[in-house]
Amino acid sequence: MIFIRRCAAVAALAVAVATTASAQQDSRLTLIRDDATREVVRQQLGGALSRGVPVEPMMAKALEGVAKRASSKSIKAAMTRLEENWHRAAKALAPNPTDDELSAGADALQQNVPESALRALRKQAPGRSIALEIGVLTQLVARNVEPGQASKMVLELMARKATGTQLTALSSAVQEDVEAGLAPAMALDLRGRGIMSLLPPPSAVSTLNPRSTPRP
Amino acid sequence: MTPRLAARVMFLGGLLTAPVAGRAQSPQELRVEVGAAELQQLGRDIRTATLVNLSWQRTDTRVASMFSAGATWARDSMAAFQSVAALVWRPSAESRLITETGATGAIFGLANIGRGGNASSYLRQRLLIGEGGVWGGGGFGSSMRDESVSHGMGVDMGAWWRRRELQGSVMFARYRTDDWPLFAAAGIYLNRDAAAYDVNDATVALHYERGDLTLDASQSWRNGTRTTDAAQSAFFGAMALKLSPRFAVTVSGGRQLADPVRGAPDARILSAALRYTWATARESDDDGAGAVVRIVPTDGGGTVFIHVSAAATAIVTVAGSFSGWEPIQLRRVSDGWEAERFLKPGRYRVAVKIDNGPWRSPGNLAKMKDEFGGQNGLIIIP
Repeated sequence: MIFIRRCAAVAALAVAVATTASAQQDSRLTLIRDDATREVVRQQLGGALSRGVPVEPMMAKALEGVAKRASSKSIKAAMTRLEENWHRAAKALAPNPTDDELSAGADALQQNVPESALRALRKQAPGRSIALEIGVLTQLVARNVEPGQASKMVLELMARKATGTQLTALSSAVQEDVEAGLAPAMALDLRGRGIMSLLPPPSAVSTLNPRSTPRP
Repeated sequence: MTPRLAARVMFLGGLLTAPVAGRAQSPQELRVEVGAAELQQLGRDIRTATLVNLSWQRTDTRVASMFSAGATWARDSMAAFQSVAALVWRPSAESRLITETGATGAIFGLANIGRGGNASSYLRQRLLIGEGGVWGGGGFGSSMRDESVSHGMGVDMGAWWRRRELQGSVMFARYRTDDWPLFAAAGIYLNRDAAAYDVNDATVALHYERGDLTLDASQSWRNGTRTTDAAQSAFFGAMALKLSPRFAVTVSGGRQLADPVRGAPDARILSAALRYTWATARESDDDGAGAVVRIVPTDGGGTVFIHVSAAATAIVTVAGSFSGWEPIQLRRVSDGWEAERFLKPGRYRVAVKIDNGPWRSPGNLAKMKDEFGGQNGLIIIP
C-alpha cells in the first residue's frame, strides 16, 4: 500500500513538473507573434524533444532568431543545425555529458572546433563538467587561434588544474593582445605560459591533491 | 532651415544628424525612390504626378555629408526639380555640439504661382543634452518667378528628445518674406500696405522606428503677425516599411504649408513610392558597433557592464541569451549607453544593434556568427 502511495505521489509530481515545463514553453511561444514562425518553432521543438534534445537551447535559438527578425526559414535552419551539432557533441562528449556541456559543445562545433578536440577535453576530465573549458576553447578559436593550438593549451592548463577564472582570464588577455596587434598564436603562447608559471606541473598536481586524479 | 525644408531633408535623406552622432552602420548610402503622387495646390485641381528622388549620404564619426535631388512631373507639364546639399559637422565624437549647414536649389513650373527657381541656404547649431537636445538656426532664400525676384528668411529654434524607439521634437520659427505670389496662393494676405509678410510657426513632430517600420508625423500651426493675416494648420504623416534589406515601400500624405525660404507652395500631397537603398559595409565589420563589455567577478557569478558608444539620438538595442533575447534597459551616460546585469556562472551570448544596423558582437568579446546574418559575443562567467 505504501509502495502504491509513493508511486502515485511520484506520478503526480512528474505530471506537475511536465505541465509546468509545457506551460513555460507555451508562454514563451506566445512571444512569437508571427503565426507561421510560431508553428515552425513548435514543430522543431516537438521533434527535437522526441529525439532527446532539451527544449531550452532550442527555444533560446528560436527566440534569438525572432529577436533578430529572421525569417521562419532561417530560424528552422538554425534550429536544425543546433540539433545536429547537439547530437555530434553528445557523441564526442560521451558517455554522460551534461546539458551545459552539450550546449557548449554544440556552440564549439558551430565555431568549427573539431570533434576530436572535444573528445580530448572529455578524456582529460571524464568525471566533471567541462562546459567552461569548452567555452574557453570556443572563445580562443573565435579569436582566430588555430583550433589545434587552442585545444593543446586548454588541455595543458586543465592538466595543471587551472581554475575557471584563470582560463577565462587567458581568453580575455589573448583578445587584448590581438587588439594590440599581436598574432593570435603568439598571444596565446605568451599568455598561456604566463598562467602556467603560476601553476604546479601536472605530476605535482597529482601528488599534492590525490583526489584530483581523474576517475576511471 | 524652415520646417518644410527640415521635413524634406529628413524625408529625402533620412535623419541626417543621426548618422554623424550615432556612428552609422554604413559609411555611404544611396537611396532611390520612384513613386506617384497626387498634388493639390490651394484652389486648384488635383494633379497626378510621378516622383523620382535620389539621395546620397556619407557618414563618418565627425562629419556627414548628404546630397539629394528630386523631380516631380505632372500630366499637364507642371514640374519641379529640387536639390539639397548638406554638411553636418561635430568637433569630436564626444562633443555635444553639432553644426549643420546646407544649400538648396529648385526649379519649378507651378500652376498658380508661375515658373522660376529658388536658391536658399541654412545654418543650424545643435546641442546634445541627455537623450535629446536643443537647436537654433536660420535660413535665407531667394526666389525668381516670371522675372520677379523675392526673398524670404527665417529663424527657428527647438528641442528634441528620444525615448527608445520614439523621438519627438517641438520647433518655433519666424519668417519674413516679400514673396507675395507664394503667400497669396496660400491664402495669406496683408491687412494694410507693408513691404513683407511676417508669420510665426509652431511644429510638433514625432518619429517612431521599430524593426522594419518607420513612422513620422508632424503638426504645424501658422499665425500671421504685424500686418499679416494668417491662421493655418497642417498635418503631415509618412510611413516607411522595409520589405527586405534593400527595398522599402513609403507612403506619405498631408498638407505642407508654403515655405517662404525655399519658395515651395502650400499643397496637399498624397504619395507612395518604392525605395531602394544601397549601402556600403562598415570599414570594419568587427569593431563591435562601438560596444565594450566589462566583467567584474562577484560572489556567485559576475556583474557584466555593457557600454555602447552612440549618440543620444541613436536607437541602441542590447539583447542576449541572459534576457531570453528581449532587449535590456539601457541608461544614457555622458558618451553613450550603459547597462549592467548580474549573471550566474555560465556561458552567455550577447549582441548589440544600433539604429537599423546589423546585430554585432561587442568589440572585446569573442565573435561568433549567429546564423541570422549577424554576430554574437560570447561571455563566460567562471
